[in-house]
Amino acid sequence: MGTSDIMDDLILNMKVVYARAYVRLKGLLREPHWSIAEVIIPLLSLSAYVYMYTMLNAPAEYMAFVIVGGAMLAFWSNVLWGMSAQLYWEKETGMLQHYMLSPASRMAVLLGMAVGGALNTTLRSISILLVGTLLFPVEYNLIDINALLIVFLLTITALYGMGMLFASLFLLYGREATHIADLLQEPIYLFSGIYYPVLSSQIFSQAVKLVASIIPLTFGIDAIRLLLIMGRGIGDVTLHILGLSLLVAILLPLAYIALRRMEEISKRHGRLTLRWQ
Amino acid sequence: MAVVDGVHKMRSVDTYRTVRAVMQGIWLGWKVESNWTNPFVFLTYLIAKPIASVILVGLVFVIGSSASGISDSSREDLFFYTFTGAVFFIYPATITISLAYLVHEDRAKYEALKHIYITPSSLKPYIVGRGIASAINASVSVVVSLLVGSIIFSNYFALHLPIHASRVDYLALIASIPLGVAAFISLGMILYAINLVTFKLQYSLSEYTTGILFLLSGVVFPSSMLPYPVSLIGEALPTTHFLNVVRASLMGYNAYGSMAYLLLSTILMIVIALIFMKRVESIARIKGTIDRKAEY
Repeated sequence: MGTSDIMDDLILNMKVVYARAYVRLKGLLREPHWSIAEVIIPLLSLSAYVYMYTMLNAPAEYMAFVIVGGAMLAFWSNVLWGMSAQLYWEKETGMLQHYMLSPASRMAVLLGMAVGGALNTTLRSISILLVGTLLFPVEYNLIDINALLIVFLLTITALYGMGMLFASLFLLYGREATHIADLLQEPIYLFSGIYYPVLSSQIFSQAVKLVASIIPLTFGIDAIRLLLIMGRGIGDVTLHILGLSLLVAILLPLAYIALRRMEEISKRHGRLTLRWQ
Repeated sequence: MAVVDGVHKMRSVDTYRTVRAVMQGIWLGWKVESNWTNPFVFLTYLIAKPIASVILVGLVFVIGSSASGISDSSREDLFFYTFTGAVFFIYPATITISLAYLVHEDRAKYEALKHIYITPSSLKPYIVGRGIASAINASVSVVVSLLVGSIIFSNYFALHLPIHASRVDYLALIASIPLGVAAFISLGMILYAINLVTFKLQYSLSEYTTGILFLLSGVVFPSSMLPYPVSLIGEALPTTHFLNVVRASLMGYNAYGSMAYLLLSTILMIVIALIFMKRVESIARIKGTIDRKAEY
C-alpha cells in the first residue's frame, strides 16, 4: 500500500467521521423537542435529589454534587442509547447493511458517532449545569481550569471508548439490546456516584471503589467535583487522570478488536440484516 | 321478554370478550416482556434495575444524613419515608413507561396494532391487560427490592425500617395496590392515546411523566417542600396518595383518609383516560395514524 493509498484511505475515513458526526449535530435541529427533553428530564430527577439533601440538612456542596452529576449523566445516557444501542437500531432500520457495503472503516463510523454525540451532549450537559445552577443556590470554586479541561476531555474519550466497545458487543443483540442498555442505567448511576461522592467517600469499601473505577464516569465525576466545587488543583486529581488515561489506553484498542470480532461473528451467523428477533 | 333476554345475552358476550381481551393482553404482555432472553437473565433484569434504584436512593440518604448529622430517631423515620417511596414508586414507573412505549412497539416495531384494533374487542381491554402484566412484573420487583434493600441497609448501615408485622394494616395495604395500579394504568392509557396520534414522542413522554411524578409525588421528600403552587399539583396526583396510603398502612397508622383521596383521584383518572382515549381514537382513525409504519 503506497503513501497515496494511505492518504486516500485517511481522507475517506475523515469524511466518514464528519458525515456521521454531522447527522448527530443536525439531529439537534431536526428534532428540537428531543434536545429540550434531554435537558429537562435529568433536571426533574436531579431536582428531587437536591430536595432530598435539603430535607436531610446536608451541606450546600451536596446540591452542587448532584447538579454536576446530573450534567455528566447526559454523557452516560448518550453513550448507552446513542452509541451502544445504535448499531442495533441501524440494523432495525435497515441502515447497517449500507455501512457494511461501503468502503469506510467501521471504526470511522463509530468515531463519527462518538464525536457528534460528544459535541451534542456537551451542549446539553452545559445547559443542565446552567439551569441547575440557576434553580438552586449552589456555589462553585474553580481555581484550575486547565486541570478541569484535561479531566473532562479524558473522561469523554474514555466514556466514548466504552461506548464504541459496547456498540460492537451490541451488534450481536436482537430485541435484548434495549433491555441490556436499560439495565446498564441505574446500576451505573449507583456505582459511578451520579448523586453522591464515591471515591472520596468513607462510606464505600476499597473493593467497591475499585469496581466503580472501571466506569470512566466514576473517576470523571469525582475529579470534576474536586476541581469545580471543592477548589482543588491538578495535584489532587493526579490519580484520577492516571486512571482515566489507563481506561482510554485499554478501551479504544479493545473496541477495535471487539468490532472486528463481532462483525465476523454476525456475518457468520447471518445477524447483520436480521430484524424483529 | 325475548328482547330482554337477547340484550342480556349480548351484554354477557361483550363482558366475556372484554375479560378475554384483558387476559390475552396480560398473557401477551408477559410473553413480550419476558421471552427476549432466558428466564435467569429476565429475572436478573427484573430485579437488578429496581434494586439499584432503591439502593441509590438509600445511599443518597446515608451520605446526606451522615454529612448533616441528624438525630437517630428522625433518621429512621426519614429513611422509612424515602425508602418506601423509592420501592413503591416502582409501580407507577413500570406501568406508565411500558404503556407509553406500547404504541411504538405494536405500531412501528411489530406492525401489529392494526390487527389488534380490528378485533371485535376494543383496544382498551388490551391496554388494561398489558398494564396488568407490567403491574405483575412491578410487584415482583417491589417485593424483592423491599427485602434486599432492608437487609442491606439494616446490616451495613444500621438503618432499620420501623415496620412491625403486628402493626401493619394489611387490609389498607392490599386495597391500595389495585387502586394505585388502576390509576397508573389510566395514566398509561392517556400516554398511549397521545402516542397514538403523535410520533417519536414515546421515550420523552414516558421519561417526562415518571420524572414529574418522581419530583412532585413525595417519593423521596415531602411534596410540601416544593414551592407553592407546584406543591398543590403534587397533592392532586394519585401517586402521592398511593404512597401516603402505603406508608400509613405499613406503620399501622390510620390510612383511610389518604385512601379516600386515592380512590377519588383514581376514579377521576379513569374517567379522564376513558374520555380522552375515545376522543383520540376517532382522531387517529381520521388521521390514519393507527397503521402508520415509519417512526424512527
